[in-house]
Amino acid sequence: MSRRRSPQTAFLLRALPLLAVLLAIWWFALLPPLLGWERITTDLLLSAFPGAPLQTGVTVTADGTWVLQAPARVNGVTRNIRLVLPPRLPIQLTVGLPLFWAFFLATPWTGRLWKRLLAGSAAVMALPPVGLLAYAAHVVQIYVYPAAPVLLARGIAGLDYVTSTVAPYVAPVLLAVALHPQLGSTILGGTAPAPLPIAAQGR
Amino acid sequence: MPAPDPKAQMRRFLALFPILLVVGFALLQVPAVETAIGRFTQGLVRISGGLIHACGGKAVVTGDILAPPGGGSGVKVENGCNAINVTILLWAAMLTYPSGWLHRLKGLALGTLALHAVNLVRIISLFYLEQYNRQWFDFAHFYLWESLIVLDTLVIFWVWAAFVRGRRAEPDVAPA
Repeated sequence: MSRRRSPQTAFLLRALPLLAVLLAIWWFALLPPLLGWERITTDLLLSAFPGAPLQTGVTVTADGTWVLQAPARVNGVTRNIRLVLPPRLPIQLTVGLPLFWAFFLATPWTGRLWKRLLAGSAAVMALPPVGLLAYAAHVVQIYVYPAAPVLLARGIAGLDYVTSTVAPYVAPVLLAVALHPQLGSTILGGTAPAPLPIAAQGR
Repeated sequence: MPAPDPKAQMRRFLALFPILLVVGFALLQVPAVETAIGRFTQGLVRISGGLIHACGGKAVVTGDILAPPGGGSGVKVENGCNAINVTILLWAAMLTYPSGWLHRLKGLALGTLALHAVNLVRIISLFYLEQYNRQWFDFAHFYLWESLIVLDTLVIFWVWAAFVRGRRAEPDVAPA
């Protein structure tokens, strides 16, 4: 007689292969467009800085190195601070997308969840430019404003740490639990929004 | 005394969880906490080295670095690799989820233990992978293991929350 699997085991058995497949798809196919998105959005956000010089923005060299020209006000004049970083951080900031999909798709599909999947994907896609900006703010603070108040300096360091090291991995799981009704209600105990009725499924 | 309203309890959880999460990550910026976590990380490296020795392998432990004995760069365990991020996540969730303090304390102890047991496997596997193939090491280090540890945290919390709900649903008096 076969034992019934617990929901946690069933979730793990679906999530692990999905994670492997989606990480491979991300690495081999999705990375170039995601990095393109990250470069363009960060470029736009940096250029929106009031009084930003013409060269402000992001360029990627042939060997994959990212060069950020971040504007900073020094002695009343806005100048660019040139930051050179290897591609590891920009790549890491995009890993949230396959993670979110793996967690979301590992839970049985109970209705019209496409909109929630898209909303979660959009939220995850907003993280990379924020992470890069926080990183740039942190480096600029260290080198251009070394005498900044301790609380401010610690705050920027913390923001950089959370957006670049924590959010790419933790945000996808929180979003999946928040957006997938069945995952949320199974984990948190039936108080999250209930799944759609059978009649509404599969349309 | 009237029983607490489950919906109100869940609203409290949803409100307090992100606050505790922010407080937890803010604490990482406090110098005294930083020092304590540095010591904890060195402890993890020592345990990893001890486990490698116990299984017949060889590794040299220097502070937070685990290196092969014949030279080579080895691995440096830092914040993120020491599972402190996911520990904060797990603790924030367990401390705010509706439950009694005894269950909560048991969950914090056992959940943290389970989380760090998996993390020791991560550190040891990365130590060997680094000697074998640098590219595979980078992929496993930055993307694969981080994802697996987050998945692990979610499942640990889920198991504990289901256990707590099961206990809540049990009748107060067992039938004779």
